[in-house]
Amino acid sequence: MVLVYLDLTDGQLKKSAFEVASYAAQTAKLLGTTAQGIVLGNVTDDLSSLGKYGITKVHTVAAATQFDAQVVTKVIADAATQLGATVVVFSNNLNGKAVAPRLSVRLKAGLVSGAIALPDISNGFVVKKSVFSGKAFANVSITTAVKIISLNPNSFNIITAEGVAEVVALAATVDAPRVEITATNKVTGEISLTEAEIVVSGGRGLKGPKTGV
Amino acid sequence: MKILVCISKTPDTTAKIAFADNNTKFAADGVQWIINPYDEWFALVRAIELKEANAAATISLVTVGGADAEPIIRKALALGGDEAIRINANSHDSYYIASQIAAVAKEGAYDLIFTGKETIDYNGSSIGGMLAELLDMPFISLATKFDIEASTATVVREIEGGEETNKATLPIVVSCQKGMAEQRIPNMKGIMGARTKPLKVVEPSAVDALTNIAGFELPPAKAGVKLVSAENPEELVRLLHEEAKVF
Repeated sequence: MVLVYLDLTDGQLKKSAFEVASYAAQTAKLLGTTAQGIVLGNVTDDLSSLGKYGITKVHTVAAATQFDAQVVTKVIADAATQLGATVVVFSNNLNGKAVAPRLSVRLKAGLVSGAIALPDISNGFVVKKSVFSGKAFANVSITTAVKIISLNPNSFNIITAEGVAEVVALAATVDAPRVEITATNKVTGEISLTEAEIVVSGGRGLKGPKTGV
Repeated sequence: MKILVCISKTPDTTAKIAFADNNTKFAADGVQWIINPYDEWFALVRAIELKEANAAATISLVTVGGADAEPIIRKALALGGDEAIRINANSHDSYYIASQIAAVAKEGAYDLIFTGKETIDYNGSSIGGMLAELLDMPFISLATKFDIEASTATVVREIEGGEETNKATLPIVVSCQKGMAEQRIPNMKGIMGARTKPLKVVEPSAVDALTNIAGFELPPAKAGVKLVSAENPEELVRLLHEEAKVF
């Protein structure tokens, strides 16, 4: 089974959650198994709609609303073990970057962070990732029984079809966080850079006459 | 306060990226090596600032690499590290590297461990989180500000769409990025002093890698640039729409 961590922001699934859901479903298809999701926290979205992205079941954990990587890691590790996941998928966003490495240690599972394509299972389990700050790619072979992939945002075309996911509550032990969040300062009403589909960067040439400060 | 700063050797940002041995390894011939910028500019320099504010603090540097990593360790010592430990191993597997550093960190009982947010070669962003899990410590990633009072750290970190202030009790692991400190250049006194600072070489612990690199690829060559006259924005819109298909 492929387990995918579906990230929330203010109780709603992030855009990247749909991308990783679709990626996990296509990975599961390659492996001849199913893809299931795990969501931590209170959700206002209709999680059954994740069936459209190929997710068969979504496990919800009523966790503390505060994100703490250590707490989230333990919950996902317990769930992955309990549910028999052989692949765990994350978005390589800020939360994914904090949780996936910890999970790799906890499950002793090989991690490919920054994946940009589905795994190649023709000869082992090889995942392509971006390296040298986007100047090259590495094909990384994961040699452990359980594998972890964190997918670079906006690198996979979402595939949808008809489907409804079953939503079930998962009993989990949620520890108290060891990191306290004392203030949050978020820009509201704007799309975050990592969620943007198109990024336009501006500048001007250095050779022209209008380059003065 | 004992601070451990993780240092990695990376190719210079302007290095030509090419591969050798049937695309299975990085072609290092003629490449200039530097301290990974996130490790140097933000992790190490912030550690030095903390030491300047607290004379009792010590800074140890740790790297996993061969003898060819020593010039960059000496540079880090010249900037302000007190001592360095080189773990004599080469690997691209994050778990292997983190396990080696964790063994050193356990022995040294450090209060604070700084890493850069990622290396500019393999872009894993994994060592800090793995280290924290191996050491059962809290991990605060992508820190842009760090302050300490007694044994409580106050850290501002990047979150999607903004920033968040965290508090945690030492010991902790923090990954550092832009905002933590300003780049410094080692002065002559530092360079001379670095020659005699202790650099200990330790053999790696027996750890199995969880991944290996099967091969590398370079992206396809880019097509030529199309220049569009500033007086013809309609043509730019047409190209973006019909050829680049960005909307």
